[in-house]
Amino acid sequence: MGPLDGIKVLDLSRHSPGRYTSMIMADFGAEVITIETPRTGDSPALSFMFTNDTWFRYVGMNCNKKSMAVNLKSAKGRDIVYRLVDKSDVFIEAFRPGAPARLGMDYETLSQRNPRLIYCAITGYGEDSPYVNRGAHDINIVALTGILGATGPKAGPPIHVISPQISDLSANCQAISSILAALYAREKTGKGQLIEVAITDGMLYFNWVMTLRYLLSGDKAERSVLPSGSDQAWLNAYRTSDDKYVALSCLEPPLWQNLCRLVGREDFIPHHFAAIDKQEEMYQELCKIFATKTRDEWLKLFDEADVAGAPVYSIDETVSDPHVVHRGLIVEVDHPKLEKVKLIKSPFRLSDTPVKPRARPPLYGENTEEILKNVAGLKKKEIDQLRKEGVIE
Amino acid sequence: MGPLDGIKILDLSLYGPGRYCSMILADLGAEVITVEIPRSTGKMFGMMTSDTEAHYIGLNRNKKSIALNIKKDEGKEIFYQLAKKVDVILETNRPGTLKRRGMDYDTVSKLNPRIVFCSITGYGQTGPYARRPGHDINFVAMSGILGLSGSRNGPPSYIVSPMIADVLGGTNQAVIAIIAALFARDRTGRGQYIDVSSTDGAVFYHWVHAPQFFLDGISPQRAESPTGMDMAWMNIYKAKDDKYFTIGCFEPWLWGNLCKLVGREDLIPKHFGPLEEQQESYQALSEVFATKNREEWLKLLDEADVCVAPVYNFEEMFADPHYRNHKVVVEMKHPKLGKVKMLNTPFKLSDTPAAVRTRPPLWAEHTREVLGELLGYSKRKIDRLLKEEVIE
Repeated sequence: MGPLDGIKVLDLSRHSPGRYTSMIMADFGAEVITIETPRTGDSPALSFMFTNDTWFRYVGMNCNKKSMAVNLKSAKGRDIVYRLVDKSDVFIEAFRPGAPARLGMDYETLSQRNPRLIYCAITGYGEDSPYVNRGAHDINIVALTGILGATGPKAGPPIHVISPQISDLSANCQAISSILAALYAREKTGKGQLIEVAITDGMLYFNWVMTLRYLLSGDKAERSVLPSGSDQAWLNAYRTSDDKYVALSCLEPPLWQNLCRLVGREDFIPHHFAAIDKQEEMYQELCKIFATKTRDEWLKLFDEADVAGAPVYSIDETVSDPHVVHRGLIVEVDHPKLEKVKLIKSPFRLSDTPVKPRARPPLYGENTEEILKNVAGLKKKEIDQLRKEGVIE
Repeated sequence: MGPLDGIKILDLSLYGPGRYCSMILADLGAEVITVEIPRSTGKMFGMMTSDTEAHYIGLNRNKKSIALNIKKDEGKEIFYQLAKKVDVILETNRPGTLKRRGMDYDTVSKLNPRIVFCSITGYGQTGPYARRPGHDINFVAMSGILGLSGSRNGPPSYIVSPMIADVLGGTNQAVIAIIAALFARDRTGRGQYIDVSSTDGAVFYHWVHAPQFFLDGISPQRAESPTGMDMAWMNIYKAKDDKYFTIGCFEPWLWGNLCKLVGREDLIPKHFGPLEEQQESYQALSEVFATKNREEWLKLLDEADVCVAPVYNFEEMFADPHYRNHKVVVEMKHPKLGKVKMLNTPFKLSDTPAAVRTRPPLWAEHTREVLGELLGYSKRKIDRLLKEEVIE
């Protein structure tokens, strides 16, 4: 069994902060139903982005789940969701603040129906922010939390990390940890509760190194003098003779000593944590040295000398690396439209309640009928009528 | 009460990934005891033992601190006794280290079958790199993140903070798995072992680019553009006052709002156009944005319903009303530092809130208290152990 066996989750979100959260819970054994918007009546653009069940965004975020489509703007549609809420443990939504109340899907309404419900609201800035009405995507949040302003070399503009979308991730982590903690607390209190995930706040919290240094010493993180984003010679990426890169991190003095000895520059040893001028000099010297051998040759030498090194991979190299293969991180499942589809396996390894092998992502609205019949208790005739009226798909 | 009230955690880790994990659990109400290596062993370098540095202050609030030399027999015996009293053990040693010392999961679970035992490492307990040392930059390199970051015209650009693989791949994976295991334990009655690999966690979070690679065979590369991003609709722009701001207009209606605001409706159909069109749009928008100051643009873009945010430095950030409003910083009294500022917990649970309750301890401040109260040692025995440098 998975650690969340028997837990029922309703997910009304559309983007990864909610969808990946509920997928992790599904990996843990929870029964997750994603509620989609029926394709009738929506703009074609919306349909393309959110309804294409063979697109990588959909395939990547919906494994192990069931999919149904219900129109929340219709009273009958809302009634269906209410019936599902009555039988659920967790409710996830990521509407802009105010929208759930307008739809009758806010915590007050739902908790009156089901006091044991754990309701997780995910927003960019929270309910009580001057930016409450502002939309937010990853790049905006990493900008507002000071991360973007400190990424990349000073000589150019700030540099944005395109993947993974780190604030979406921090939202996943904040949401799922809170939901699990609330489930755990419910065993004792018997009550559900409201969880408010303000993505910006979580991102700030997880950016602890930079932020705390500022809070304690007033030291403002800036972009780097060196071209690689990092101003430490011991923490950097270096180009090798085959035009590939290796990444080095020798924080511990013994590792730095190992590196300096390996490259015959014992004179650098005492300058491990030197100021920028010396760091730049060491960086330039190491650049010359690393340019004399290929990436693979260096990696072998690093391993032998006990230096913390790793290859800078592209995604295709990552997924075929012996480590990724050994750990079984990529799985392949059958799919009715795509034949075989490869997925990233859950990295969570619990020895006694392991995460389940991955079921394929559902087709869009694939489980609407099944859920209405089995969970909401509707008859075939009623379901057909609802479909005709565009309440469900 | 916090949701994890009553849970006891013994944290053997030394660095951020473990320490931050136990701090999140402490914020959620768990009682955390961090086990330090006594300074008398000479094994520790300054950064690890100074209880007034940013790392220590930032990672240890809400916890108790003890120092224990587990290489001495009596030190190990104290570890076993603590292991019997706690719910969770967290460690970040290189794989195999604790087994050699007889402190691994197999040994401990015989003493305490309800123990949830979590190891956080860069590459996991098994695999070709299990014994390789590593830090965040290595794991983000391995997982394809570093190779994707920055411009093709320069080297890969490392994001110094937050440490994506350490914090999001490792720390958070551990937090989530530990609470899930505690939840499962209430039903099975058994603890279990959790093997966290930060690299595996980082790979898992490539939810856009990995599925794209699997489906379309596209192995993404670094951007052509100096900002690391090739899309005009999601990028970084410079205002007239040389300050930067970001826009993120993934949804077609948001992109429409932006194009209308700046009088460039002709760009609307080029939203998801090829690289050349993106570069044209980026250029056009760069010229427009260079005509007004950042504050003016923020106001206009907000009014037009465009996803926008300023690229802040830390001074600007903490002056922003959003953060004051959300009380993201808490200040506490500290015996050595007077007042000390810390990041508040972002976990907002309405019924069992997480909270910053106690200041960061001084280094090994609670050795006496924990041995006395939790294990019932007499003052005399504790004094002797101190003298023999088993504890500090």
